[in-house]
Amino acid sequence: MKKSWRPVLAYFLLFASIPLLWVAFIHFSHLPAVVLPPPSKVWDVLRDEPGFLAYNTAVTMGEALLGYGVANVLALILALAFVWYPATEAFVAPWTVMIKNIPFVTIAGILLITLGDNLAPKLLIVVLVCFFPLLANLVKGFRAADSVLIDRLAALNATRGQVFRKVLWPSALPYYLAAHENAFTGSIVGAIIAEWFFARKGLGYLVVQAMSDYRGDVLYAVNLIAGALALAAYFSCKLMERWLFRWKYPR
Amino acid sequence: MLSQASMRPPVVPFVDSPPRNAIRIQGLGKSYGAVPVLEEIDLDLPEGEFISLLGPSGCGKTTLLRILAGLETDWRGVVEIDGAPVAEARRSQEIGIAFQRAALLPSRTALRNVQLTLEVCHRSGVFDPERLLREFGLGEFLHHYPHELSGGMQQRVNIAAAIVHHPRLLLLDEPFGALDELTREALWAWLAQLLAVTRQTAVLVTHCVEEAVTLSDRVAVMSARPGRIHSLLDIDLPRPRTGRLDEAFAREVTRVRRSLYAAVDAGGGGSP
Repeated sequence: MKKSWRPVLAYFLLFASIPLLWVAFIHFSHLPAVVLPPPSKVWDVLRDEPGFLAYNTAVTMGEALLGYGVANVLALILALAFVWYPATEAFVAPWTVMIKNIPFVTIAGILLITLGDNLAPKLLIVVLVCFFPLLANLVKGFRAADSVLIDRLAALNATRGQVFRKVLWPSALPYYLAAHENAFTGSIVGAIIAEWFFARKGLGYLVVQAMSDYRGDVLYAVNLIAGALALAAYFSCKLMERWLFRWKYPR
Repeated sequence: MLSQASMRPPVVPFVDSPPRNAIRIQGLGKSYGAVPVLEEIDLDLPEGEFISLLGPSGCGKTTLLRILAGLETDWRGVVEIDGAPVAEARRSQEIGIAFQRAALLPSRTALRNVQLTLEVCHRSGVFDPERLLREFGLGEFLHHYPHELSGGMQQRVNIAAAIVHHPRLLLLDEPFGALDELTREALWAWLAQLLAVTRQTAVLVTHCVEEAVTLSDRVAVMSARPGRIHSLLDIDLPRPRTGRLDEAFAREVTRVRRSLYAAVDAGGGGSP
């Protein structure tokens, strides 16, 4: 067997064993179906209400992607400001340190009672979750740029934009992609938590509803959906990385 | 090597108008804080000359090169390239620079790394990157990435990227310092041959006496702390000089080395 097929097989085994372990656990634990529903009941939920689930998934993903986009733009602007005008970092860094270190769920409560049930607090929470890893990695990536190469371009009177496009951006790219692996999943987590607090739609709202109704089957169905989304996000990052850095791999 | 079409006409010195100076340095000084790095540097370099800056570490030879490249600020004195301030030469992209560590983008092939220079430069009369690399013996490696090339090949790509826009001034900061001896000697021969055709003015920073003697028309021996020019030596040997084991070459090496040791003794405690 070729080595490159090992991970594919490993993931196949993982996904194949989930229902088996699930059924086995029900069999040995004797937990009631309300708490631990069998896969068939969860499947029924997914099958009976596809439109309803898809709508709530779309709501959550919309918030996550929009917040993610905002976080990326902000992180890029701030990272460039840090690199081009080091004074900015000195003054902005204390703020980022403070905001980053307050647990974001406590800020979420404040945002929701202040701004109410609309898109704004949810976007802010998503931005809070994914902004900092993006910023940290972008700054690290820009700083990792080859100073010798920057000097070479400086001796050619290259503009700041040229140095950014030709040197800073390519050298930050691996760091940036590494941040996506965490931050993209983080944006989904942030959106769900925001809905959890106070919302009338979205996957987070479904979780709260299902918990108060003792609907284990719905909880598990939402879990499957959220898990699939986060995994898809992760793998799309990996594929992107593999394609962008194809030059690294032996031909 | 490079074709006739890409050659610059040789400089013909007339009795009443000597070749003009490519570089004029007068009373150059530079300090880092209170620490003087360079002091009272005077140096004139005629067009087409190859000069080496030789000296112990800490003598400011790299700083001097960086000032010529327009990469340093806050220095005192006069530095002119082709009669204009150094910033002007940088603006007109008359400078090519190669450092000890090859400044190549890992995500670009050899060819695209050379093209990088031209993406930034807007000059006419540049070399064709592909032909340049072929003439540098890298025809089979055009589409290889830096990590697929040996150190010597990377350095040839690096120098190709430094001269592809045909600058009047070539600045070399120990470009062969990290290479093994045989590769280094091969690249000396290659560079000497290249410059015999392009006739660019070149400044080489080195700590290798043989390298300086092999390549230079003149050697500026520097002393440290603060960096000064201790002596200027003409290297009067017929070219090509590479691979020579004869007595004249050995004599020149000894003469330069003696001057270097004197410079080390004169300096403020630098080590060779």
